[in-house]
Amino acid sequence: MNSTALVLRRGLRRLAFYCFCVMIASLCLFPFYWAVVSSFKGGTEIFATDLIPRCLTWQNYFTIFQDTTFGYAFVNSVIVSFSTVSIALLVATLASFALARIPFRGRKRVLCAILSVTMFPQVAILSGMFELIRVLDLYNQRSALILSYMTMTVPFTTWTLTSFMREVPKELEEAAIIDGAGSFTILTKIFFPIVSPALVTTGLLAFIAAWNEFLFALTFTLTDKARTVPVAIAMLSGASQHELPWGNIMAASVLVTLPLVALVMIFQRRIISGLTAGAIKG
Amino acid sequence: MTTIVLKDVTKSFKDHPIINGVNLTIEGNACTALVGPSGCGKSTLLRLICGLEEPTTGEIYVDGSCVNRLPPVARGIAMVFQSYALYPHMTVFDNMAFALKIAGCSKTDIARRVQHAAKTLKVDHLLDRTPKQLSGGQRQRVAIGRAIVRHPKAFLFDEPLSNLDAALRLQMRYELARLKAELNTTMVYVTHDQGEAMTLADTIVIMREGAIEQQGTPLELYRSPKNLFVASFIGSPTMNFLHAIIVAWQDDQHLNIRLRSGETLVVQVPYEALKWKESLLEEGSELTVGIRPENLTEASSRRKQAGTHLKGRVSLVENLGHEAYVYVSLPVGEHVKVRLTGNCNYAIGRDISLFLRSEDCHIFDSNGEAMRGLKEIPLC
Ligand SMILES: Nc1ncnc2c1ncn2[C@@H]1O[C@H](COP(=O)(O)OP(=O)(O)OP(=O)(O)O)[C@@H](O)[C@H]1O
Ligand SMILES: [Mg+2]
Repeated sequence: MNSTALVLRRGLRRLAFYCFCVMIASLCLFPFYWAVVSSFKGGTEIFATDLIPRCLTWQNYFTIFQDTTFGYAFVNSVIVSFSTVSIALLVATLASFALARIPFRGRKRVLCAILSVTMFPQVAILSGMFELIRVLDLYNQRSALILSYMTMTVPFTTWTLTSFMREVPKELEEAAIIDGAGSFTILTKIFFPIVSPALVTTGLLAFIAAWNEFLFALTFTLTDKARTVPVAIAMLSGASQHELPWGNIMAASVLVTLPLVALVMIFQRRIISGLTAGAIKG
Repeated sequence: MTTIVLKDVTKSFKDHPIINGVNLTIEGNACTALVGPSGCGKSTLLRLICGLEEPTTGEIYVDGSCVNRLPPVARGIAMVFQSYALYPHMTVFDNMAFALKIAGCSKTDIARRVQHAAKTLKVDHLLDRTPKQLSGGQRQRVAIGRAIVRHPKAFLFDEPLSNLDAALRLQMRYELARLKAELNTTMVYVTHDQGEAMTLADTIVIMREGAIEQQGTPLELYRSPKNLFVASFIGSPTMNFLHAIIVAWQDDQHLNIRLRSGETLVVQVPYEALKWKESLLEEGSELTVGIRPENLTEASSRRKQAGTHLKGRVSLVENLGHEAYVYVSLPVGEHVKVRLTGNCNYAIGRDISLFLRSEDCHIFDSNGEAMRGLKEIPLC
């Protein structure tokens, strides 16, 4: 008698817990759900507020691909993001190795400077950046975006990688020194593989930041030649000046998220794997 | 046959002197153990020898040539770290081959040498695994293997067994002894465990606060510790110390002393050799008598033995089966440990009478220096 009451109570409590979870999840996921669902709605259906749409159509997606602007923008985004991430990771790996492992004067100050740079809002450097790009004659070119994205990604990746490099036990480095490795071998053969999960994670974050960046992309580009996806989406226009093509915008947004999802899927195994398991002690 | 010589070596970290003028000759083809309390600079000394640190002053010679300016790899000295420091992303084979690859050995040469080292250390079946798939003992072996493949002039071990559990430590100690005989190279071995030092080393160097206290064979250190510090460091369980005062000099070889508990004994002390510190030898001066637990016996009630008897009460018994360590409190507030064998039934609180021979006593003056030199005690 008593035990059934106990079981019942436990069941109720669990039910309440799951309801709570579902509530939170739906709150968080609703905007994404709405975007996906809207991208499949055609015509005036898009202004309906039913939670579950009545009919779905691929129409929006076809429209996007008929428009060449979007294809251009996609290619631009891929080039810009990949270049940004590769250059940022290269610079950051070298810099963070030095910052974490090679004692030199002013090391702390450099680190502080890097950290404070990451805190600046983008708008603050917008006009300065614009001048720089004009002087370098990079306006309306992809390299302008790569350069300006570097100002956000390099400090961030350097900072994160430095803290990972610091975690690598000193003995590993010393063992390598005794084995005859020079600084460069130590970096490429010891540190690089060990921090590679961190490299993947920070690289991914930098990629997402570069992929979704809007302000610089809007300011430093003029034509389809250099425009990236976020700007292209914002520039999508409907049949008349007063119509915002919500369906197309949603479809484009969903499409550009797919590469990110794919990247995360590919790399997630590496992100999770441990850094130095087995290197020292148990 | 590589001899390592340290000459007036000092090392300071930001004005903190850590190594204070070490003069040390590490004989070739022998195992030298560095022992000392935590923080006394043992690891620092090893790092100086292998080149991970530069001495502040002084010179280090390997085979007669000064290596102060040489980078670690050029010194030809291998070091095994306490924490193993295996490269986590490489297989056991690659871990062991790393140094050879950097040195530019040929593939077949590398494979041959790694295989040989792996066989010696019985890890040849693990070559494809990564460090995290190994047990502690296996990791330790791989770490040693990484040192062996280079055929170094000397091996430095920094507390190689301290991460292992007791049983494995004994086994690895045995295997290190085997390896030592097999490799026949110069070895320097840092350890906290005086048992390891006693069994593995040909020479023991005892350090304190960055300086060498005493250096000698294990038996020399056991039999004739130079001072209280060394005496309390070597031997397990540690030596007992009793306060005493000088009663009178019988002649220039024999000293009459009285323990706090009132017993007197006559010990042999060469007066001539100690004459220079006369003030410590006057009548009434304080002394410390050291006696090892294994040199105390329970006084037989039947047979009267000539010598000194200490009367006390059993306060604690650690029974190990074949022997027992009995803690005896003496009436004057001092305690002694005794190692007793045979019938190990000692009830706590029981009165016990201990017998000690004056030949077994180590005598230290009030500065803690031993009053007999090394030569006075025959080594047999
Ligand atoms: N890089 C360093 N900078 C400053 N002080 C150091 C450095 N390395 C060691 N020390 C100091 O030197 C002293 C001796 O250190 P060391 O590691 O040689 O001791 P140890 O004898 O090996 O001790 P343990 O038995 O605990 O390993 C310690 O007081 C330590 O704080
Ligand atoms: Mg140490």
